[in-house]
Amino acid sequence: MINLFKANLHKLFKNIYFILGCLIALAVTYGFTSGTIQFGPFHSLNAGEIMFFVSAAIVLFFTVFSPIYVCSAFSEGYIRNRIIAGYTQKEDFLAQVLALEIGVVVMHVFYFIGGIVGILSAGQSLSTIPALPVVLFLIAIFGYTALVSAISYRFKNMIAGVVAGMLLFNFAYSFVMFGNFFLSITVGKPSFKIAAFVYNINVLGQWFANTPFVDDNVNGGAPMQVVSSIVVLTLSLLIGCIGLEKRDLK
Amino acid sequence: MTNILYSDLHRIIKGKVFTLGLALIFGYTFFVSLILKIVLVSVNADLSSDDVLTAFPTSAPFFIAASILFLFIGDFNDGTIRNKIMCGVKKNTVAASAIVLGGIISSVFVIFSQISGLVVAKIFTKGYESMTAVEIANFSLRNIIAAFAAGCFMAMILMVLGGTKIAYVAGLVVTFLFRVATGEVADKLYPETGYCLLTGTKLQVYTLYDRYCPYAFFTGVNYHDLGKCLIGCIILSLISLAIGMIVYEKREFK
Repeated sequence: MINLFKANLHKLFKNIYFILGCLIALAVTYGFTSGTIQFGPFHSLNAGEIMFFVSAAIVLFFTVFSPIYVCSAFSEGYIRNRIIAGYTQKEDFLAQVLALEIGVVVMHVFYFIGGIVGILSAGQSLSTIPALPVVLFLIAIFGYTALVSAISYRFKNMIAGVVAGMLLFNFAYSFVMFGNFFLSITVGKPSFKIAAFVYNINVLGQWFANTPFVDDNVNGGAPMQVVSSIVVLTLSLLIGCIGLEKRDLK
Repeated sequence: MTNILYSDLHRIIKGKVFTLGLALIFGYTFFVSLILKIVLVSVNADLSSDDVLTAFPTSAPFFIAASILFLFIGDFNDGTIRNKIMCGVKKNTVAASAIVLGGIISSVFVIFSQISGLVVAKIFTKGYESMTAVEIANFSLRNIIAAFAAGCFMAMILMVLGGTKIAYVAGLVVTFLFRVATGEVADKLYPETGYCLLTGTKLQVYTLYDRYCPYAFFTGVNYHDLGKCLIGCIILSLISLAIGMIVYEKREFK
């Protein structure tokens, strides 16, 4: 499996869309945090808060990139070469997801560099960097990427994968709004903890909970966020692997 | 033009995607209403027919983008376009056919969603809370014409970018950005508390978007003027048609 993983990493780092995505992450984060790009709602935020706010774009990127990357094995036909070489679909799936998770880390490195340079250019202290929320959100994106990849790998079809990914992203976006409503009606009740956990399972829920635009009680705290991300990641990998060994390829 | 339009329409109506789309619309309306009913009953409130009727239109732009992608991307992947051109059909005619059909099919989906909404409302609710018959008709008509414009626009994006991987995501991402923009505009123009604080050019741009952009009509809120909606939708449809035909005419296919 290590060879598959290496091959996937090689394919990922050569992918023009991924390279462009990393460069855009660097440029956009720098642009917003340094104040080069002005955006109305950001006027009341410091550079560190802006840096965290723009990180939602990484989720959008992996929503569309993961299905394209994962399903290219089927559309370009090299999944068959791998099966002939003795690898299983399960190994291929896990190697692809692992490579994508490394991709998430690499993009975060670019994002972080952009943020640090931007904050320094804006003349603000590096202590404003939201290190903990960024790390928590990185773990949440691991789970989300695995989920999108698992769904796409099931479909085998790039268009269906992209549509399902965008559907999931739209759902996550809508869920934040519904979630805010449900949290407001359960606040002070025993069901609030459950509502907060459900809210934080959603990757955009975790993102929104760490922005300054939300009440502090929505943020379930670091342990709850890590646990919910690990739950999503584990379930995605498990569900993604079920029945793969017996699946036929055309 | 008529022949290619007819053959494309025939292919779409006979295809699985169209049937699946209709089934998904009914399923979506039914299950969203069911979930809303359960949630509202649990907090001692009740579901109204207004909520059911507005359930699908708020998600319609995304549905339109996805269905247009499924319906027309095959032309590029299966090489159908080459066959059409070899048969003597002009490239801009192919583009015009796809863009017009994108609009028609999207409108059909929204008409079906409104019929589904009326049926599901009968099952789950006791009646309308605030909407009168005229308002329901206005709401449906506005969504249908907005769906036509959105369908034309999505088909245009696909015709312009078709054949590249960007085509898979461009329409969906643009739709999402419109959704965010619509939320931002509605939030600033009609704040839940207090008055609208916008002034100057920003107010004009936001107002223009709210009154004329077809994507602003998929909010489930019933306040837009039908005449202005129609003007906005005609403008977007014509722009989509013109851009699609011009760009597609100049494209080279491998």
